[in-house]
Parts: sequence; structure tokens; C-alpha cells
Amino acid sequence: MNNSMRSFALHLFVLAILVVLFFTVSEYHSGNLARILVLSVYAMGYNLLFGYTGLLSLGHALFFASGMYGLGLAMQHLGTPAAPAMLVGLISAFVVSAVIGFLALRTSGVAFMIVTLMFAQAGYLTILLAGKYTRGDEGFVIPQADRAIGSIDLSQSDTRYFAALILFAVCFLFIGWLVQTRFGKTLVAIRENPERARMLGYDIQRHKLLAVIISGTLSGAAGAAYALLFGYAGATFSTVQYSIYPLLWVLLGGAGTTIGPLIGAIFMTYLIDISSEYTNAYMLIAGLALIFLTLFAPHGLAGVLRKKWLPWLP
Amino acid sequence: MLVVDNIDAAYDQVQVLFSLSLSVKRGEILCLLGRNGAGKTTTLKSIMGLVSVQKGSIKLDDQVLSDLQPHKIPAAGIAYVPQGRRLFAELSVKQNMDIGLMARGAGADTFESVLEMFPRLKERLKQRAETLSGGEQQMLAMARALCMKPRIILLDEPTEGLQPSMISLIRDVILKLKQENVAVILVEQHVDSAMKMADRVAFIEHGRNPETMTGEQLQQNPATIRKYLGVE
Repeated sequence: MNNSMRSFALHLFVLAILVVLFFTVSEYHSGNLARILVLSVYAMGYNLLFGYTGLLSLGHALFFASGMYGLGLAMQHLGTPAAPAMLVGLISAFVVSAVIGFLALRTSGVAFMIVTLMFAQAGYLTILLAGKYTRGDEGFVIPQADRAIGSIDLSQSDTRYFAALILFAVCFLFIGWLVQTRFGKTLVAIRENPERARMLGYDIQRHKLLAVIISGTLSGAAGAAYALLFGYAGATFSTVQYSIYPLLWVLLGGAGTTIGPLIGAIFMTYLIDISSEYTNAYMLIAGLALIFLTLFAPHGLAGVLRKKWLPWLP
Repeated sequence: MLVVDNIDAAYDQVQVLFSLSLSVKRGEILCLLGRNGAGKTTTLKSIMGLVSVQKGSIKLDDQVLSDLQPHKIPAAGIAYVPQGRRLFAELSVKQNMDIGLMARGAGADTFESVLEMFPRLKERLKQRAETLSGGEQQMLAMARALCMKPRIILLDEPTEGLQPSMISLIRDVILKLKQENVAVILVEQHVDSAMKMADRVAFIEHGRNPETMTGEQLQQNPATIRKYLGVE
């Protein structure tokens, strides 16, 4: 079996486990998992830019929020049904990421981080300033009756789980395929040594811009799905904290691996969930776990797997 | 084939090359000799579009390279192996070569023919580039460049810091490229190497090219070596 087949088999295996989990865990955990699957899509989008292209953004919450508000505002104010509203969310994230990418990629390194952070802050403030439509900090609830595609009610735990899983599966297989293509390999070359890649004849700027757009659109898809499946859009999702989360999930799970974002999101969510049962200082425990993982597994959990046992892991 | 005609080149405000001219033909090895800081590497970078050329022109056959964006120059058929090799350190030998192959859309036949030149790499295809020895890294840097099927290859001190057996292997490859009609521009510190391999030697001094001669002429003129390099 060659590496591509192994990789494809692994992706299918992960998806099969996620199907089985729904039927074996309690409703509380399946609800948690549905949320994790949507946030993993966000982390996968982030990982394409950070883990595969080597661009550290601190403004991805803006892309997540673009999808979320694109869908939410269309449903809330225009009465758009869920499926076309999802498309509006995707288009919003696509346009915002193309514009931000075009402007922010005039910088690199620390400057790129700062510029993306500033754009995200500007987005957050815009959401607050447009409170008449967005209801500012308070956000707005999407009525349960509207959260349906055709006759499928997405507010129910089982349909919500499988809708999240379908979105996750599509993005997971897409990323798994993308990183094996010429485009994906070029992104890795750019991450490793951009100047060398340019000398070999690759158009670095074009590749980076495409990476920002794909990454931003995936993040926006996660934002739109979050609003649709969990029925809420709020300014909290556009804060710096929501730009930091995918970075943490990806670092913990393994940057530059397709499975890392899922592992990181599961690990972080459950670490906080379990530790908060025992202490109010659960963020301290999460922080300590992060420090230990950074010290002893700097490539993240999937990075360790790849380094020690599965060198073919994509 | 490649003609560098009267170019001035600068890093921002600092001019490094002054009215420099040189040329290389198909199947010819042109060696650039000069003291440190004379402008040899800058000459190669100017050809690759990595340093801005303010005056003059660089042409490959009828195509003006100095008008192209840097990433379009390799597509014209020029490969550059910089000093220090600059590999994709975390990627395997094969992945490094794949990136060279993809750059020009070359296929498995090119991959195989390049590996024939560097049989040692064949045994290390899955090994990470950063774990190779210095000589092997140099081979990989050259192999990756050759995967792009270049008409001209620019080599910046390819034998620097290598043990004699490796130097000999690298020189054999350079001579083989000449036989295959590839033009080579070679920056060298070793005068004996230059005299043995080069069809012509261009001296670079203070960003200018005051003299170009054949390898044989150079052997008969030790005074020239003293004049430009300060060595016997």
C-alpha cells in the first residue's frame, strides 16, 4: 500500500470512528463532539495557513465571524433560508479573506501577525458599532424553526451531529487531498524556505494568497455552520481569543498534519471540560498541559506519531 | 546563449556591480574568480533576478531576463544552486527533488536520470535533508536543480567545505553536464579547480569584469592570478 492509499485509509478510519462514537457515547458527549467537529474545521483552515504554509495569523476570528455573520445576518434580516444563507456565509468569508490576504501579504513574519490581528480587531469593533444589525456584544439567536434544511431539523442532536460530521468529513478529505497535490507540496516548500522556493520558480505571493483564501473560507464555513447548528451568532467569536484558539489546537494536535487539528480540539475541549469539574482554576491546568506538551512534544501529538511511528502521516 | 551586458546592480542604495559584462555558451563552463566581496555571488543573483539590475540587460537567447519577475526566470531554463545549499531541511531527499521536478513539470524519466548522476542519493531517498552529510547535501542541492532540466546552471562555490572525495564527485558531475550541452557558470575559490574545469575564466574585481581568458591562458599567466586574487 503506498503512502497516498495509507493516508486515505486513515482518513476513512477516523471518519468511521466518529460515526461509531455517536451511537456509543452519551448525548452530552455527542453534543460536545458536534461542537468539536465544527471547531476542528476552523482549526483545519487555520492549519493550512500556519502548519502547511508557515504563516502565523492572529486574525482568523475575523474569517470565522465573516461566515457566522454572513449566514446569521442573511437569516435574521433578509429571511434567507438556511442553505442559501450558508452560501452567503461562505461567500462573505471568501471575499473577506481575499481582501485581507491581498493587503496583509504585503508584510511577512511578525508584521503579518500584527496586521492580521489589527484587521480582526477592526472587524470586532465593526460588529460592535453595527449593533443595530448585529446586536453587538449580546449577539442574536437564530430561531429553532429557521435552523432547518428542507425537512431536516438541524437543531436536533442527531441531525446536528451528522451535519457537523458531514461538514468535517468534506473538509477533512479536501485537506487530505489538497496537501498531496502540487499546490499543497508547494505550500510546504514555501513554509520550509520561501526564498529557495522562489528561486525554483514558484510564485510565492500567489500561492500564499490562495492559501489565505482557502484557509479563510474554511474558517468561514466553520463559523456559518456553528451559527446554524448551535443557533447563535455573537461578537465574542470575533475576539482575539477566538484567533488564539485555533493556534493552540493546531499546536497541540500537530501543525502540518491533517489529523492534528481534530486531536488538538478534542484534547483542549476535554481538558477544560474535565478539569473544570474539579477546580475553578481549570485554565491553569490547561496552561500547564500546554507548557508540558510544548516542552516534550513540540511538534504536537500527531507530530509525535509521525516522527516516531507513522512517517507517512500527511 | 546567456549574455550579461554592461549591468549595474545594487542592494538598495549600495551599488555592487558596475558595467559588468560576461557571456556563456551552450556546453561551456565559465568560472567566476575573485576575492571575497568582489561581486561573484551578486552576479549570479542578478541573473536570477534576486538583485535589482539598474542598467544594462541580461538576455538568454532572445529573451530579456532582466525584465522578468524572479520566479519566472527558472522557467526560462536557468537553475541556481546557492552557496550554503538552502535545502528544504525538514523534507526528505525525494520530497526535495519532487519540488524541483514540479517546478518544470518534469517526470519520472528526469528523476531517474538525475539519480544516475548521484547514486548515493538513491540510497537515501526517504532520509530528511538535514540529516545528510555536507557533501550529500550539496549533491541534493544540485540534483534538485537538475530536476528542473536547466539549460544553464549557476553554481555558487559547490565544493566549499567538502572533503576531497566529494569534491571529485561534484566536479565529475559538472563535467558531465558540460558533455550534455548544459552551460555552467561556476563561482570558485580554488584556482586549480577553475583552471582544470573551466573553458573560460572571468575575473571579478570591485564589481567589474576586467578580464576573461581561457583556462589554458590562465595556466600560462600566473601573474594574472596574483593580480586579481593575491595568491601564487
